[in-house]
Amino acid sequence: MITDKDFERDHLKIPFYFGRIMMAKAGSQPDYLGQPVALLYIKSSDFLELGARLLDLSSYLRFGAEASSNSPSSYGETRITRHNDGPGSDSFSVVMDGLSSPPWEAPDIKGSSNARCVFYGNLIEQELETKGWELFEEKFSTQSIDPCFMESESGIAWYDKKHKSLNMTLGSQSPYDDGEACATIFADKACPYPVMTVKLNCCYPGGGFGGRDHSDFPLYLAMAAIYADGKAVRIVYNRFEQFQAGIKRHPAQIHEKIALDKNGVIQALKADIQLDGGGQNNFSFAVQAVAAQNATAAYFIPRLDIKSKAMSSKAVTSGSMRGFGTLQAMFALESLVDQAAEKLRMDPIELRLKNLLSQSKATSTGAKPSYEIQSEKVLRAAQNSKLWSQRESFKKSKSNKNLLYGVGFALALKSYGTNLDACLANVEVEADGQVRIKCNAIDMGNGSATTLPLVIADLLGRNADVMKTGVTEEFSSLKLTASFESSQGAEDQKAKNPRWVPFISMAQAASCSAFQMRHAVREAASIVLRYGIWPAACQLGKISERTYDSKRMQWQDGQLLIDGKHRLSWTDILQRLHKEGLISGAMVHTYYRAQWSKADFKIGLQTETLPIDALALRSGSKGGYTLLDREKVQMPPFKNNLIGVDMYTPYGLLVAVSVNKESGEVRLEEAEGFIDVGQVIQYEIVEGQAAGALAMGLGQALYEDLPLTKGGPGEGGWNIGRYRLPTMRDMPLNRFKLHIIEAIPGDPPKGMAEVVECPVAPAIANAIAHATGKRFRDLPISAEKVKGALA
Amino acid sequence: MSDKVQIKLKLNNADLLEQVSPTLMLADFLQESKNLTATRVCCGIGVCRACTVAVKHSAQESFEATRACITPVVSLDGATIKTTEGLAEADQLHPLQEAFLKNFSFQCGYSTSGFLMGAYSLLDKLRLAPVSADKIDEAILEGVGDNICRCTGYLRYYTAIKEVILATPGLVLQS
Repeated sequence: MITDKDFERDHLKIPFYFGRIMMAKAGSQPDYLGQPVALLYIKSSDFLELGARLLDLSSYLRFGAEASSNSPSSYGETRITRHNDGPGSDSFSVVMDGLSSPPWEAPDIKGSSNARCVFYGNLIEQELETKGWELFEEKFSTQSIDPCFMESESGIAWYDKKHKSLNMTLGSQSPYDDGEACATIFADKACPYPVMTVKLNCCYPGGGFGGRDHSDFPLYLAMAAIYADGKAVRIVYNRFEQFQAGIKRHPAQIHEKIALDKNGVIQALKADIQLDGGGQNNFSFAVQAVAAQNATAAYFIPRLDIKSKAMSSKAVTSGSMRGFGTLQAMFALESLVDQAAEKLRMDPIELRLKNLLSQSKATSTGAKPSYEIQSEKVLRAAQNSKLWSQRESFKKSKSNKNLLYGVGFALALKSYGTNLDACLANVEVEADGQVRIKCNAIDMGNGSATTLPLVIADLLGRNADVMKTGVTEEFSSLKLTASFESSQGAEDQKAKNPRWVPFISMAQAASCSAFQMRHAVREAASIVLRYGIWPAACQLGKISERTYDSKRMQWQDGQLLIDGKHRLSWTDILQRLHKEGLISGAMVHTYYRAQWSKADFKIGLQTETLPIDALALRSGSKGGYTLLDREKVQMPPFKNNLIGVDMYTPYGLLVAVSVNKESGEVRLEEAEGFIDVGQVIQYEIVEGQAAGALAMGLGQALYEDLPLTKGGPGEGGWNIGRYRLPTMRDMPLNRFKLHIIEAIPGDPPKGMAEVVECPVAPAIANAIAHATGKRFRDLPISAEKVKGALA
Repeated sequence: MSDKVQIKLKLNNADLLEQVSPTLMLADFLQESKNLTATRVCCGIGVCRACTVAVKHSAQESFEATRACITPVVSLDGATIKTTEGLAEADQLHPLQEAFLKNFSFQCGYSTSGFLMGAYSLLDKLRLAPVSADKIDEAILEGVGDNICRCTGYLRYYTAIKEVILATPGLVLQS
């Protein structure tokens, strides 16, 4: 058995990101309920006999006197204030004035950013009271839930002391950062377990949804391996342990006020968002910031004062989960907008149409979106749906003495990407005709492993045969180094080193496959095409004009047609490519911060400016990768950090529900989704994501609920048996339709895995209000709550 | 630890004679002793049905969807067990597997084996007791309606299973 005493003796250092201490200390107060106290080793032959999956230790817990929290009171706070008094630019915004943070100063329009922020915050408060607008003010709450990915966190690891290497296999959304964190633990010179190399084999995880992004599980696995005398250890959380230790969605308390003028235009929004981050910071600092940024949902609102804060508590740690703060904030605004429409006797979709954010209007931070947002078409399509246009007659005909029927709508707008998006991709064509992709994307149930092999088809005439996700180590050929810099000047200085990038590898997060990861994969494939396949084909076809031009080529039935007359087989081209030692593999790094990084690379005799910042090439069949030195690198401007994010996907959801008058049980009867995803890479995956999100959102809306502390999952007694998750029985079989809005030419594929969950809970709440006349503002809307309200 | 017990099994068409502990669950037996890793464990308490396999206790019966995580392997003495690894024949995927692929039924794939074996047991049941076309949805819910999946929203599993039921002769009563 290993405890905190062993860690202290051996000078183990917990990386800052993962909290103060990994293990509760005997005789001291733990940081949170459920914090591990020891690593217990069991021989594998005995383990299965113990019935370890059934271990529920919660009944052995004895509580002492109430104690205060050891954690800092806040993990982070954000204030997004914006004032735009009519046509023209903002008087104050994050993009104009920079981020404001406490301690707050006295209001002063000519003062510092903080003083100006307070001034405009006060001005908005005054205007709310004096402009004669219709005010709507309510309090909302959302609950703590578990992502409940099907495969619990698990892994195997061993420590090779002779070679100072730590070897790990596990499923993670953030393998690069996990490996770095595991190395940091043992970095102290006094630590008797030096680790020079961490080899982390990231295998395909059984779901993730955010819960495997910077989880502390890999750290416990690393520690267990270090103390195992070179033997391999295996940790498999049983489901009780996964509930106890796994990252949760932040519960939120939201106090929100909106002001609408007589035309139904939202003039101001004031919001106070408090998230419970639990016992460790994890991603709380970021989730609260994203909640604030996206609190305006799909709308342009000229006056904003949004305060968001993530608090610490004794609950199990909250972190990343699909929707990432946005889901909580949008539940509040989409419910409130619906309530306003009802009071103003306006069609709720018409009211939304009057307030849409578009590419020409600034987001909450004052930034302009980089691509058009077709929310209007989403709303018009929903409005034209029979389910919406005939909702009153459906309500009348389908309600009866036992059931109340109602139709509700909600619109969500969610950014994709983090604006710090570092992607790694490698595309190789082999002499046997296979196309292989390696990249740092992870498929956590979001479809990346299915869609990314398809995105090269127009370039290489085929989908990839082999797709390896979660790759980090193989990209060591790029010899990258990264550091966080705090100014443009510092970044410029660092960028003189051709190996420096702001970040090496992002975690799989923020719906980043369709745009960010696709870009990296396509850039690598494009280099292989232009410097490998094209010259090989020209040689083979004895084509004298060898200047590459995409208009000269066409893929037909697996053959390359050049200039409409030279038809060359894939197999022959690849054999020639490998025989001649032409480019057969490209490995790239890309970085997106509201713009792509760019650099010049000399490939052969040509110098090209490419939207990548590191490149290594493989020639023919033998040998490794040759690293190219970039020149004239242009990293995206440092000031783009203030933009927050710049790309958005809109999704509208119509739902019909029935409410059992006696039991209060709500049933989802029908649903229609409307989405602008830009170019569709794979329709079935888009529809599958939307349907999956409908089920996941249904659980959040109606069923799932975890107590935060006493009686909660931290005690170790929770499993799916007492935590209702939606099943096929709860879904509207044959009654879910997804409508895809036609893409604007030139629009890229847009990330969509998160946005599709965001409108589910407010759409259901709005449908229940339509059915019953009662508004429910606290999730979940359980049968007991509905029954109580109808009594 | 407990004394081991000798049992006979037919596992994916192979006859086995095994010495097993009375506390050993079928899921662990498959994964740890037989390296049959398609059978997944999620909740470990028999609720989510990710670990579903098909078990038949006599030649006259149909296969029953059985939760491997809570079924002691000793309770299966003399039984026939089919897991996902035993579905394909001579490299020909089972129609359910083909239909799952064609319909993009799964995403992360962790629940897929449970859906396959639940649906396989359902097909076998319908073979002995066909239903009318209007009862197919009810039958599908009976077969896999309690299986949990977190990625898909179930709709593409449902579509694939229904397709196979309708395409397999003898499962649906002719009106």
